[in-house]
Amino acid sequence: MDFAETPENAEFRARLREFLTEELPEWWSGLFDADEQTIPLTRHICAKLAERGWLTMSWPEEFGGAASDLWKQLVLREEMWTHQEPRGPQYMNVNYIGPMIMKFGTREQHDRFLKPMAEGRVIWTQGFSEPGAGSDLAAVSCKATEVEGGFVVNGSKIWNSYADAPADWCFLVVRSDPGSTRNKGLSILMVDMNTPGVTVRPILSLAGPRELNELFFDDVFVPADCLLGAKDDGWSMIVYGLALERAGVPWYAFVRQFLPDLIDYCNRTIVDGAPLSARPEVRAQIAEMHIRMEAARLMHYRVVSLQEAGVDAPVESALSILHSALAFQHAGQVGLETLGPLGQLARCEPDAPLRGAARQHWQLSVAATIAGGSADIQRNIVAQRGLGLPRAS
Amino acid sequence: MDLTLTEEQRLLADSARRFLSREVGTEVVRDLEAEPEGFRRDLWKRMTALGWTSVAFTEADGGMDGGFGDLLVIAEELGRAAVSAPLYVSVALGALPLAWSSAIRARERYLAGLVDGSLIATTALLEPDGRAWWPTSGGAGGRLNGRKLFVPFAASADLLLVTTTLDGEHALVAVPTDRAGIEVRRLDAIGTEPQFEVSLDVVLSPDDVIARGSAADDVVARALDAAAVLTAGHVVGLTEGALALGVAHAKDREQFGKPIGTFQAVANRLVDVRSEVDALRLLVHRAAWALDTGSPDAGLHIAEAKAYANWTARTTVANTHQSMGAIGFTMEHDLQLYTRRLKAFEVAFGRPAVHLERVADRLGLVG
Repeated sequence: MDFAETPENAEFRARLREFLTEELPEWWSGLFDADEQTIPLTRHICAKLAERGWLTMSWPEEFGGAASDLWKQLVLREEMWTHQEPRGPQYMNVNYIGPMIMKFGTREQHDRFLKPMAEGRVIWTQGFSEPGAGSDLAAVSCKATEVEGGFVVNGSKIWNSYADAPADWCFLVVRSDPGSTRNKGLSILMVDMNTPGVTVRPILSLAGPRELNELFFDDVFVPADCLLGAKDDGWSMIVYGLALERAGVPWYAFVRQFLPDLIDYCNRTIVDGAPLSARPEVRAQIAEMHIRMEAARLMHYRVVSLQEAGVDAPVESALSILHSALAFQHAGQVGLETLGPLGQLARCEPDAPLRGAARQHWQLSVAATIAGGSADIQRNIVAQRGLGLPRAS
Repeated sequence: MDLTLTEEQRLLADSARRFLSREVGTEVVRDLEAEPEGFRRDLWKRMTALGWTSVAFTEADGGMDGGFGDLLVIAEELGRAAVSAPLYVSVALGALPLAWSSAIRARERYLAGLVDGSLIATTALLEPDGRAWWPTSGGAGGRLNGRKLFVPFAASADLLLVTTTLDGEHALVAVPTDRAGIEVRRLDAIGTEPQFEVSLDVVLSPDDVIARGSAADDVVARALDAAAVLTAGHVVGLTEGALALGVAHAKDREQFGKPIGTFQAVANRLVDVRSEVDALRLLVHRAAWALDTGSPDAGLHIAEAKAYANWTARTTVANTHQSMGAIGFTMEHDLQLYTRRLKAFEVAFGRPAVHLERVADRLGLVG
């Protein structure tokens, strides 16, 4: 085993940090800030990243990328998330919506959709989950009826991030074969969010604005050239796309960013004549927070090692997500416990320690075992595919 | 960056696993535990014939130029088979301290034998108070006096390293176990690894002293770190072994008309063991890699690994027993072989709190 980052990747990491320190203003606190400048800033950052060839560096050269390896992509993801993901909603375009269009789209679709993504000009939202179907992704009832020249969509979707950013396009999973059930008869449509009949209802969550929305489709016409791949063949594409998503990286990255700030706070804060950092329980809790974060990070690195070697790693991937989510939740608890009552204050409060970061992390962390494939689903994957335990029938 | 085993390590693991499953089933493990010495020399000979004691030494010292990463692979397989052998003891607590020391005569006398495995060494560290490595006074005028507890494999060892205080100064001494004035008594302890009380009233020669003062402190600290990493490697294997028993039981055992592994409550406990042991393996290998490459973060990574090993040991014991029900609590069942060793390794070479404190210190928390 070799645990050293290559000099090339270490240098790339340093350049990214330098870039982000220069470009991110003092007020930036992440995507779910109500501040009106938030989304424009993410657009600005994406355009700058695109200029440097970093926005789509993971893409193949024929689509304007640099075909960078998975380690370099991981460095980019880590540095973005340790800076609260200043690509904003556009990370989804780069990570899997774009690659899915490359893989399954027509040449016309490539020309139409990939260029704006590569230039950092377009926001997509993902329309997968439905009100009646959370972890059960195949329970799709939002339906697309084939009509002359395209489809008419009726139904609703839920938990759509950034739809109110506002999003320009929706990557929508629909049931296109009315007689089908489960994962058969599904299709993927790319829906212009300005089409009549599309309604966005923001759902306020503990994360803040834009994290969650509900979408309603009321006789929405989608032209035939916005169907991705073959009709009724959506499931295999979804499976392909989900494997591209590196869930988990944001969570350990948040902890990695928060840890030095928390340590610094403990060293500086004198309580009853001694620094907080001298208290045995504080020392033990922060050490545990660090170790859990490191464990999660290495679990992700193992997945990348396997994938770079061409090995499919669904079980290892599920475990890495589980580790990240739990490490983040633990860090959220430790942060609030360490800071005491003031830790509850939002960043707008002048007395808030660490600009409200502990509270922000804790609130986000509550969803870590739910979003993007719940911890229970990840454990099921490990139980059945990793340990070979029988399925409940 | 590559967090997979090298081809050589995979081959080493395969050959160790084949050897142990063929030659040392759990019946043999039970027999070994019942021996007065807690071990058998003939088994050791077959292990050393595979080169296990020499992997981590340089070619100049008669070794295979490998490192801790390779030793870990063997430690994991020993753990998986629940086998207690003095490998980490003789290497980390015997041969390596000797190789690191500047005691030329002792090196000449013992090192080659320890590397090829014809000699077994162990270290007498723990004072009768159960806390200190160094007595306030252990001898003067060329005599070594004292009593030590938890000396692993003492009855099988040819060479005994002892932490002591000679003429008011910390000293690490190496005495052959056939020297007059050494008595050993087997302790009744939790683990399956044989542990002994060693009583010493020995005449020392100047060549017996391996290191003195701060040099002795350094050598012992390094040996303890090496032992912490290797015991954490054993925890990886012990957990894999216990988990395999738990999984097999969850597949076979039927309750309410179905295998209990179909119940999420049962399955998730076993998943959590898988989850922890996979992370532990990576943390332990990183610690070994840091030792092998001389990384300045070695101390941090060792503490991370041992702290995590302690958590994993607890999770494994709790979750595998819970999945196994009453049968796992019996001495007839093999699970207890794993359980007892996991607990013994958890408290050896740094309890959880000790390593968490080391991590806190390295993270820059002002004490």
